[in-house]
Order: sequence, then C-alpha cells, then structure tokens
Amino acid sequence: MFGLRRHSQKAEFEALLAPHLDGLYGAAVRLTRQPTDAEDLVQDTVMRAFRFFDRFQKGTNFKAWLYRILTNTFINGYRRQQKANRLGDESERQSVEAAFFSADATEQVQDPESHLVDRALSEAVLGAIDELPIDFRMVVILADLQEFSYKEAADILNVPVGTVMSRLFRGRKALQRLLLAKEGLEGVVPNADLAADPAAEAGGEAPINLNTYRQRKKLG
Amino acid sequence: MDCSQLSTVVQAFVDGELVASEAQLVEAHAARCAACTERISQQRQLVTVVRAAKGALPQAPLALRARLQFDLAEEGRRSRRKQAAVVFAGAAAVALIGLTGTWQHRAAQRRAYADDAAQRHARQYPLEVQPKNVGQDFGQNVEQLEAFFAGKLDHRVAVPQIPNARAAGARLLNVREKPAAYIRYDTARARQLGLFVYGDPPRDVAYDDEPQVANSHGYNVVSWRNGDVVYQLVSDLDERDVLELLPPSELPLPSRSPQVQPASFQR
Repeated sequence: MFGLRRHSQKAEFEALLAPHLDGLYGAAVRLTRQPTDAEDLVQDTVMRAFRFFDRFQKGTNFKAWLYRILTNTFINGYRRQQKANRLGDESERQSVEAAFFSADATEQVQDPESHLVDRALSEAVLGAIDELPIDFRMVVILADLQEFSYKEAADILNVPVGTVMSRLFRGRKALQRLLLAKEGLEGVVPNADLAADPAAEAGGEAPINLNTYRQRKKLG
Repeated sequence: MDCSQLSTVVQAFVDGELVASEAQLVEAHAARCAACTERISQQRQLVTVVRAAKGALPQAPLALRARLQFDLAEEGRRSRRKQAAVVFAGAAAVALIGLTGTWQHRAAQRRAYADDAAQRHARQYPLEVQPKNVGQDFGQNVEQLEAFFAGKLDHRVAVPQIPNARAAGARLLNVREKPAAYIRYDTARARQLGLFVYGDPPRDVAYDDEPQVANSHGYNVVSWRNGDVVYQLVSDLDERDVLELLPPSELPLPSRSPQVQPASFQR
C-alpha cells in the first residue's frame, strides 16, 4: 500500500549498488587507510546516495555518481579527523613491508612469468598509494584502481581534466620512486624517467594538458 | 610529431585517452624512434603494475554488507511510517482500521520470519567458522563462535549449550533482511539444528519471552525472547523433543513453563 514506490526504488537502488560495493570499499580503505573508518565511510556514502537517489538521473553514470558522493563525503567528514590519526600509519605500513619482504614473496617477484599478478607486488603498490598526498592519491584511486576516464575523474573531483592528468602523472611518478626504493622490484618497476616533466614542457606552470598539445600542434 | 611533443602525450596515449588520429601520430613517430618506443613501453609497464594492484584490494566485509542491508531496510521503513502518519492524521476512523491491520500485520510478519528462518536453515548455507578438523565440533569452546560474531552485529551473541547437541559452526545470515547470527548444531542422531540469534528491539521476530512454536517447511521453529535478543531454533525433531532440547534456564532462555504449547494448539 503505502511506500510501494519507495520499496521498488530500494530494490532498484540495491541492484545498481551491488556491483560497486567491493570497489567502493576498496577505494574507501585507500582513502582512509583504516578498515574501520572505511566501513563507516562506505556506510555514510551509501545512505547518502540512497536518500538522494531520486535526484540521480536515470541512465547516467551511476558508478561516477557514487564515487562523487564517496569523495565528497570523505573530504567533508573524514579528512580532518584523519589527520589526528596519523600515528597508526607507520605500523600499518611496516606490516605491508614485512609481508612484502618475506622469503617466498621475493621469490615470486623474481619469476618474470608471474610478476604482473603477483600479490606481494600489488600489496606494495597499494602501500605506496597510501603514502601519496591526498590529491594525488584520489586521482590514482579513481583512474588506476577504479579505471575511470580522465573526464569522469575530473567530474567526480570537480576539477579540470588537465588537473587530473597532471596529478595522475605526478602521482604515478611518485609511486615509481617509492616502489624503486623497495628491494626486489628491479626489472618489475620501470626505472627510467617516464617522460620529460610536463610542467617544465609547458613552461613551468601549466599542467600537462591535451588542449595545450593540440593548440601547439596547430600553431607548429 | 617530434620526441618532445610525444613526451607530453605519452601518458594520455598509454591510458587510451587520445583520439584515433592523435594516437596514429604517436605510433608513426614511435615506429621510427627507438627512444620513444622505449619511453612508451616504460610508461605502459608502470601503469600495468599500478593497475594490477586493483586485484589486491580488499572486498567489502560481510558485516558491512549486513549493516547496509539493515540500514537500507530501516530507512525504507522510516519513510513509509512517515507517509502513513500523514495519511492517518487526516481520518481517525481510518486510523482505527489501520491499527487493527497493523496488529494482524505484525503477527503475519512474525510468521514470515519463522518461515524464512526454516527455509534458510534447510538450504544449508556454507558456514563461515568451522572446527579445524573435519568431524570435530566446538564442544564446550563456544567462545570461539562468540568471538566470531563480536563486532559483526549490533547485539551480543551468547551461544547456548544445547543438551545432546554440539555446535558445528556458525555464520552470519539475513532473515527477511534482518541480520542474524546462525549457529548450526549436530545431534547424536545425525540431525541438524539451526539457531538464529537476532537483535530485535522492535519485536519484529517475536513478542513473548515464552517460547512459541511454529511449523514451517517441515521444520519446527521455536522462538523466544530474552531482553532485546530473540532466539529462534529450527529443527526437524517433533515438537516435544524440541522443547526438551531448549537449554537450561540459566542460559539465555527464560525458564520453561508447563504452559508452553505448540502454536497449532493455541488457537
């Protein structure tokens, strides 16, 4: 009788949400670096999304909409609180490194066949992502772990596409440096400069930008 | 395109963000430039390594899923109640009918919990905690099971000892979207009992402290309440044997009274 509409709306929401729950949680763990905070963050995000579900435009990108709520919820509610919790980080990081440096893990890394799917390597990458400054971390989480396009990531974070490209470039470069500083990753993580520094290329200030490139090409 | 132009778009190229004509320019240059080919390959290798880490992300814990399911159901109920309140405020007569309806609705709802619990027990979902060795059970060490539930549900789960039955394992299980602890017991005659433990302050599952028996899907379902926690025991034993099985009174069960009768006799 009453609330039938609401009920079918709930079923619809749950069906849309289900495929993204693991991804949301994975992203939340990287953002908060604390499993319990991550659970709270996902819960806040999902309840907020459900309350505003009637404002979601059907047929548009539900995943991007969810992650926009996730990042906004994180920035507004969790970031300040997180700064007070810095103390816990070090021990967590050490345990990741300890797992990485265990004997059998190192052996697997040296096997060129399996290195790309190697669990210990991936754990090391996640540990390195956790060390990135938050602006770079958010872009790497969205573009590399959740495979959003530049445009989608820009919409989610409400920044220009060029900013996404620049943060992604610098974030990956920092990851490369962090990973190369760990033992056992020679030959797995590339050690050369990825490219000329795009900021320097563009005159020192502007971030790497497709439009800049396109304009330059027309002029040249 | 020259090397310095290529270096500014190598990331977009590897990420598949260039339009086809631009990508062709990159490829054409790389085909005759070993340095840029290497640059692209290094970029691609790094991106591959970073993206592969996606596979090591933790999955959403079961307890979080249960929490979300519960909260979404609550949120739905809250908004339904709000709508209902507005409508009833307009007409007292309708409200009276509404209340009678609510009472019947509550009884039907409790019946539905018993039905769903019986069905879920029958389906033999895999257990999340089991003894280390096949054929063993937890015996007197039910603390291990209680520790498993700690922090996963909003209520404390005390695992009762049931005479002539041994706890074989446990898991979280939702009954009509309400998260519950589920403990499976094995009896000497190779029969299985399932005990559901709910946090139920709103009295959705059971109203009384006195055990109530219902029959569903070929099982007897005995429900009783202890404070805000409801216990629901599902078994294929007959009614008298089930009541014999109920744990002694010092455990989270009220003292058994001779008035207990199968629900079918109470009407």
